[in-house]
Amino acid sequence: VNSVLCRSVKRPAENKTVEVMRNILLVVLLLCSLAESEAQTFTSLPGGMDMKLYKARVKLVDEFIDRFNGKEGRPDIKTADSLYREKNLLLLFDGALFKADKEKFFRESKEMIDSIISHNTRIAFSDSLWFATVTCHGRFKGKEAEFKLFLSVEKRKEDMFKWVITKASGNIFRLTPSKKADNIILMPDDHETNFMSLHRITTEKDDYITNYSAKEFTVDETSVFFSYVYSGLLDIENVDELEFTFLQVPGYVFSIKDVFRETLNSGWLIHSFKKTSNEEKKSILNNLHK
Amino acid sequence: MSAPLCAQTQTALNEQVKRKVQEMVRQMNDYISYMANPKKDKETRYFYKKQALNLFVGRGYEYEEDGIEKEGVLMEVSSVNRRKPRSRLMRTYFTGLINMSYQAVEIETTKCYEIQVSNLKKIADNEYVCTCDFEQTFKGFRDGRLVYGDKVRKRIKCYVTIDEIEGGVEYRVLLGDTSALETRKL
Repeated sequence: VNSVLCRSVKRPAENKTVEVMRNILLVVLLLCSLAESEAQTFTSLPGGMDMKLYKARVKLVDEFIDRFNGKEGRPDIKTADSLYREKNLLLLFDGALFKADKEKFFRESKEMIDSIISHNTRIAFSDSLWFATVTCHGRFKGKEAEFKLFLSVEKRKEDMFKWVITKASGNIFRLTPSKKADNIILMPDDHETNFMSLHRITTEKDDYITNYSAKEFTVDETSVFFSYVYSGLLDIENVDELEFTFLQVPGYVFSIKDVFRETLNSGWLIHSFKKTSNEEKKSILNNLHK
Repeated sequence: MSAPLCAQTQTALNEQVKRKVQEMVRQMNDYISYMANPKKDKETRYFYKKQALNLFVGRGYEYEEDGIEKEGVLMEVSSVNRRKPRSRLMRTYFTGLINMSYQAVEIETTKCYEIQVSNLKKIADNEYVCTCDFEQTFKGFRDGRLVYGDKVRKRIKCYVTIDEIEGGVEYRVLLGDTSALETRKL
């Protein structure tokens, strides 16, 4: 089959048939890989090291980047394989995605892989076109709270980088008043009493405070996050979920998550991907850095 | 200020440091096996605790990072089913290993050269950080029966200092905070 695929490069007239065959081959590979992975789980019980699983798993984000870039591959894919790059890219997708609608996801993932290969897309840690979404569990004024932080990589100086908090999002940062009404106001004549009502509005019902803002005022959730932490009102206890979103592939945005299962198809894998225009990408980035 | 490294030098450096980091982690895992071994006397096991702590930043005790005083390196333990982690000081975690009540234990760890190490990331002149990932299985026995077993995935932060010495470079590696994710009960 591989020789047929190689020939297809030289004879474009046969491309369509060969393309179909190539797709069938990749689907078979993916399904075999998943089936084999699950069989592996049972044979490796009741425990102990399973180096085949360990080596196949995408253990670190750096490893995902290296496999995406073709610098490394899954050890069970031979480097001499004519479909080496395609297979490795395909196996970076979470196989669970394909279970729901094999054909649809396979077709769409194949299109994204084609875009990666044809544009020779490479991703790097130092890129500004990726970010982390961290779902945090914390305590706000002693009560449990969940919220998201968005982090991206920023250059410090030559060859040195750091992660920075670019955005915070969550109910606790919205400063939504428990009651919103047209008559919760500072009275028109309050200036005559030296605005002594300012004392009342900041002591009697704290969560009404945004009722007193100008109508064009919008709450900046990130600043609220920083101010809560600064004032000692908010502690992050742990990270509940973590995903990384990449915008480098022309026409696509994809996200990876650490998939925990004892199969070859596990670790940092693409769990969602979407066709995205440049305009939409700009909007995502603007929203992130707003 | 040191000159930036060229890509080729950086790759070679990464490989050498990776091996050094793998070796340090293997050494720590050996000490863990000795500490957890109920067949060794307590004095010997505390000796290995001290040896193991020497591999960590601050030797497992107070250290300063970014101008912030830290109580010591932490071990954060969570599981796939219960993501909320419990954090303990590494030195307390090691004492816990010594005081376990099993009659025999078996600890198996990913082979040294298979341990996955992330790329070095520079944090200051001659100073880098990286992370290594490995798996460990633990089995505790009483009366010859397995009474507890788990498989965890550990990730250790590593601090690397690279000093130029006469005739080459010297790497110093210190281990830092560790996360342990229990992926399966055995």
